[in-house]
Amino acid sequence: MDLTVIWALIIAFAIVAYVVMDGFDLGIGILFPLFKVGKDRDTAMNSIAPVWDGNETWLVMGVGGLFAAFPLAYAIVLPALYAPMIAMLLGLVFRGVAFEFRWRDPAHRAFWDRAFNVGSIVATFAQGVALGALLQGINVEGRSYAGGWWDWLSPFSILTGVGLLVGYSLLGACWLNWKTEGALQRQAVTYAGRLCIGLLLMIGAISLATLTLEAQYHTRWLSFPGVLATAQVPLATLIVTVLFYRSLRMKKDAQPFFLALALFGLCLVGLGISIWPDVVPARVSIWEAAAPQRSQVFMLVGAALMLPIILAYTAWSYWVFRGKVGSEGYH
Amino acid sequence: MQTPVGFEMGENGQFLPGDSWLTIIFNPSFPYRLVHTLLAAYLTTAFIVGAVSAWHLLKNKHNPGARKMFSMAMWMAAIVAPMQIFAGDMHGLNTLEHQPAKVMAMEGHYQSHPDGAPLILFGIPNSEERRVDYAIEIPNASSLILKHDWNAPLAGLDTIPDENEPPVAIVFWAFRIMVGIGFLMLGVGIWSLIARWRGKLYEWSSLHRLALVMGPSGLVAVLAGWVVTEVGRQPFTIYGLLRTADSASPLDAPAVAASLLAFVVVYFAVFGMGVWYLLGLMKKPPEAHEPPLGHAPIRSAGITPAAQVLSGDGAIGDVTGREKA
Repeated sequence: MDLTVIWALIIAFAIVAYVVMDGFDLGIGILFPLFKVGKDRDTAMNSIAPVWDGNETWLVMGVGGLFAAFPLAYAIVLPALYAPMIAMLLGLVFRGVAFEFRWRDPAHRAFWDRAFNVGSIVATFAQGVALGALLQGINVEGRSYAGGWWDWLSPFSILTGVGLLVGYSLLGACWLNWKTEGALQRQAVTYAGRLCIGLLLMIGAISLATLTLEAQYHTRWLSFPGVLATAQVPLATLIVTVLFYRSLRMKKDAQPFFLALALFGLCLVGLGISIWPDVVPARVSIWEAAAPQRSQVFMLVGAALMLPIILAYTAWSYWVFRGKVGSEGYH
Repeated sequence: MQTPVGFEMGENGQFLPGDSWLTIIFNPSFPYRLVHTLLAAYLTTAFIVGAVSAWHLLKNKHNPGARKMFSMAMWMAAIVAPMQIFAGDMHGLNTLEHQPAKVMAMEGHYQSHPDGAPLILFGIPNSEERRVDYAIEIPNASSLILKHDWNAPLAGLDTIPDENEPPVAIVFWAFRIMVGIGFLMLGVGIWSLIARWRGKLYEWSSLHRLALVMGPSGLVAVLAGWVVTEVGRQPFTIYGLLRTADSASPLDAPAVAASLLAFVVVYFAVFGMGVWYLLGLMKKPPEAHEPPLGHAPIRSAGITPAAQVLSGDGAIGDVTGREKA
């Protein structure tokens, strides 16, 4: 396996880690106004307070890694996705400070709750739009972006934006089901049941729409005999969904969350089938965009040292804050 | 990118790393920049702590917490300010070697001085006429500082092609703001030593007033220094190799303008609130055995307010929670 593939996998891992970890806390932000002011909202926020900013490590790692390992892709993709990226960062700013400020300044709690909610929605929607804009094809000429600054906006990218809002909300609801008790947990279970249907509809719509975007996607998914392999993805999605509703009915705590993550995992597998080995889908492959080998080696040493450390302390912080929020006091 | 080394040029004009990344990281200006910036951070913190404690000393000179804060901040000023001036001078010599045009702009030297260059203390750079108007100068002092010789010749901006010249006035003024604040900091440090020696460190209210006014000075100096180094390297992003105009991304101007405006608005709003909350925290006099911060969680310390939420005390805006408690 060459270094370029290793780096592509590292960045793919960072993206997966980001979706797995930041998805649910953005989802809680999206659902936030639906929770009762007071104890319910405080508990919902406390369930993510110890881990949320560590989760965003992976966003920095994904984009920073893209910059270092695939500079050409970075130079093409970031101008193409400029508006959604800026919107995401500004959304994350509001959401991030809301964690602190709503406690420091109870007189303006309502304002910071709104900031938390709107920031989460904007950041999530922008991420979904960015994914859609990437999939629908970026206008590349030579070695640079050749489109305008509104190219990212299309019915398809809006669809992916809404899809991600539904998906992260599902993760958030499942997280609350795992981490809380009583009325808040029951509320979360109700939402989780409804949101999963919504997510399935969105996945279906986005998958069908994707097939029409590029000939490459169509061939990858539907030509024989590859279709025998690719058909397993929708099949697995159906199985996971059945398991998900079963676990909800059996009042499991953690299981629905992991099954919802499995749905996300299947979407990412589908994404991989569509675009691998391109870093700018259907335009630029990972080998065309790769940094010179010396840079790859140099950074790999750093990544090999840092990744295990980050993973270890992340795992440790989840371990320390395991269990239900508010039921065990200080851990 | 200020003193680029250790790279190779690819066929398509791409910069590629040379034999070792270590050459690139440990480039000629790296140690000077690191030391100068690190000391600047220490000084900035010291003067903010100094201002907060000075404010509390002005209200109550017996507060032991404020006394300790003020004493520590003033030791820092007295020790680090001279170190910083020395480090800044070393950095200046390094810049003279690698980026002479930046130093020419800092000094306001439009013309070369073959027999020793004057140190221009103040004046108004006039780029049209290629001179500094109303200049107050110390003859030959610039040569003494930069070359350690009264009569050493110093080249001016006339030796630099016009298209490679940085904007002189911005660099000239930002440099004076930075250096001026540096010497004011040194002054506060020396004054504090005198006050300490005379046993008046906690009583000398004019020293406290000056320290209070100097509170944000470190932040201003850091920004001014940043402007000196970044504007002074113009018109290049990779010094001498890649021009700023050539390194811009293929984005339309309205997109960049809109995002800049959005960042300005959001940062002013969010930092404005943040500074407001910080000032509120600074207003409280320091106490021994600081009480826990009300009902708020200290998330940065890894503590959840779970217990408070459990007891109902922590719930904000929760009327029923309070009644139960």
